[in-house]
Amino acid sequence: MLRYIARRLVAAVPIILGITFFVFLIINLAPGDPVAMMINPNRPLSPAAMMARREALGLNKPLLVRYVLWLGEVARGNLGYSLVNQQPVLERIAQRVPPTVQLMGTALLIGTVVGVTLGVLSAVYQYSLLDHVATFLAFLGVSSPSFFLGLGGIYLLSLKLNLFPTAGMDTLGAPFSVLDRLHHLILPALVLSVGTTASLMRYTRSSMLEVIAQDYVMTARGKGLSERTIVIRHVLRNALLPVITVLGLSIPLVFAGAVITEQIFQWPGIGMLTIQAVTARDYPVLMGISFFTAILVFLGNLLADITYSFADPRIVYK
Amino acid sequence: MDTHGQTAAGQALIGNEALISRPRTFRSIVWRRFRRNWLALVGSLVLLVLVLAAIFAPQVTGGRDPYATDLRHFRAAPSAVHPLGTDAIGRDVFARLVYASRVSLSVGLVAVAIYLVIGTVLGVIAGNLGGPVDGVIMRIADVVLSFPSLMLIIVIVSVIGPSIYNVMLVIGLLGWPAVCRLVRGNALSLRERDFVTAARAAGAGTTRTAFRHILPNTMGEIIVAGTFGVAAAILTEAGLSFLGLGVQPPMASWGNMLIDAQSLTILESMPWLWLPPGLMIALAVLSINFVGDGLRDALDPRRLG
Repeated sequence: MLRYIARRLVAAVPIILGITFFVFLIINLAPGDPVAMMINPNRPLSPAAMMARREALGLNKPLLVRYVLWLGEVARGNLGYSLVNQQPVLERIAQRVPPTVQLMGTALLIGTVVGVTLGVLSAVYQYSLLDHVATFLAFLGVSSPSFFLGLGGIYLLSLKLNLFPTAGMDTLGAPFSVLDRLHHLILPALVLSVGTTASLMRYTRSSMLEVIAQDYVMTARGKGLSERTIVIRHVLRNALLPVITVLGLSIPLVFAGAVITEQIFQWPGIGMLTIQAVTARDYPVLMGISFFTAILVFLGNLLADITYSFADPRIVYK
Repeated sequence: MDTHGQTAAGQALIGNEALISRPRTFRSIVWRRFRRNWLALVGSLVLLVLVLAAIFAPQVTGGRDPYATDLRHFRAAPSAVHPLGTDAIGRDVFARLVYASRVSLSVGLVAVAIYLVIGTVLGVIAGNLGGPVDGVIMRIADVVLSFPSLMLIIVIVSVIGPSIYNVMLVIGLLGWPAVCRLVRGNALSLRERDFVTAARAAGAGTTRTAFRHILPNTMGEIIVAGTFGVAAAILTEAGLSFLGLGVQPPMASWGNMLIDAQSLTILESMPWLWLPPGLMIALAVLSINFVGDGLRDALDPRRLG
C-alpha cells in the first residue's frame, strides 16, 4: 500500500507541474513585471540588488527558466507575496483553506448521504412514483445553476422564512461558537451539495440496477431470502463500491462550485479569494491558488482510491 | 459497440433509396427509440421554441429594444408595457431575456463546436498513431481533466479580458480532453474489430480506416457528448457572466442578468429581475439534458432492437 501511495505521488508530480506551468504561461501573457512579484516588498532590495536580481532572473530569459525559478522558491516554501497587501501568498491561502474544507466537506457529506439513499430507494422501487420524482429532481439538480439555487435559497429560507443567515461564516461581533458556525454553514453547504446529490443519485441508481440483474442475486432470491436481506447483504455493498470513485472524481466539480457558492454567501474560502485575486489581478496569489487546488484535487482522488482498496478486497494495489 | 452494419444500411438508404426495401434502417430505429422517451420529446420541443424565439427575437419581443432605457420606469414591476418589468436603468427585462437567449445558446453551441473538433482530431490522432504522440496528447488531457476547469477558465479570462468571444474561446479550448479520451478509446477498441480488419485486408490504409470505418462508429457517442456539453457550456457561461467574468453589459446574457440580485434589497423585493433569467437557464439546460439522455439511450447500440 505504501509503495502504491509513493507511486501515485510520483505520478502526480508531472500533473501538478503541468497545471502550474500552464497557469504560469497564461499569467505571463499579462502585462506586468514578474520580478516584482517574487521579491518581498517588506524587505526591499537596493536598486543595485534589484538590477542584479533582474539580471539573474533575466526578464528576457525564456519562460521556462523563469518557471523553474518559481519552482525553486516554492520548494523553499515561498509562494511569493500578494500584490494587494504584501502578505505572503502561503499565509493568505492557508487562512482560506479551513473555511473551504468545512464547506466542501459538509456539502460532500450531504450529497453522499442524500444521493446514495435516494439512488438505492429509486433502484429498489424502480419505476415507482418515488423513482420518477427522484430521477426528475436529479435532472433538475444538475441543470440548475448553483448561483440561482443559492439566490433562491437565500430568498426563500433566509429572507422570507428567516431560517438562516444570508451570508458570512459567523455572526459579526459574537464569540466563536460551533452552533453559530453550523447555522451559517447549512445553507451554502446545501446549495453546494445539490450537484453531488444529483449525480450520485443517478450513479447509485444505475449501479444498483446493474447488480440487481446479476446471477448471484437471482440465486439469493432462489434460496428464498427476503428482499430486504438481498438488498442489504448482497446488492448494496457491491453496488456502492464504484460510488467511492465517482465521489473522488466529483471533487474538482465541487471545488469549482465552491467558487460561486462562496461568492454568493460571502464565505471567506479559497473560492472567494480566487475572485478577489482575479479582480485585483493579484497574479502571485492566483499562481498559489492553482498550485494548492491541484494538490487538493490530487489528494482527494488518492483518498478515494485508497478507501476503495479497503472497501473492496478484490482490489490490491502494488 | 458495433453500429457498422446499421450505419452502412443507413448510408445505402441515403444513396439509393428506391432499391432498399428494408423497413428498419439505423435512423428509423434511433428515431423510434428516441420517440419513446417522452421527456426527450418534451425537451426537444422546448428547445425548438427557445431557438425559434432567439432567432425571431425582434418579433417575439414586439419590437422592444433590450438596450433602450425607459426613463419613467426604473426597476418597475411587471406591467402591460413591460411584461417582466424593468431593470436598474429602465431596460425592459422581457426583451433582455429573449435577446440573452441568443447569447447564451450561441456561446453553448460555438464553444462545444470548437472542442468537438479539437477533441475529435486529437482523439483520432492519438488513437490511430499511438506511440509518443499518443502519450503526449493523453498526458496533456490528464492535466486539464484533473483540474477544476472553472478555475482555469477564470484565470485565463482574467488575463485575456472578459467578453462573449473570449468565453466561447476559453470553454472551447479547455473542453476537448473528455471528447479526445472518448474518440481515442473507441479507436483503440474498434480497430481490433473484424470489420476494420476486413477493411485493412481490402487495402484500406490507416487514414481511410480511421475516417471511413472507425470515426463513423463513434459519431453517436460524440453527438451525445456534444449535447450534454452544450448544457454544461451554457451553465459555465452563466456562472462566469454572473461573476462579471463573462458576457459584459450592456449585452445581456442570462447569467449577467442575475448580477444585480447579489444585492439583498433587489433579491427580496424585485424577484422579476432575477427569477426569469434563472428559470430560463434551468429550463434550457434541463431540456438539453433530456434530449442528450434520449439520444444516448436511442444511439446505444447495445440496446438496438
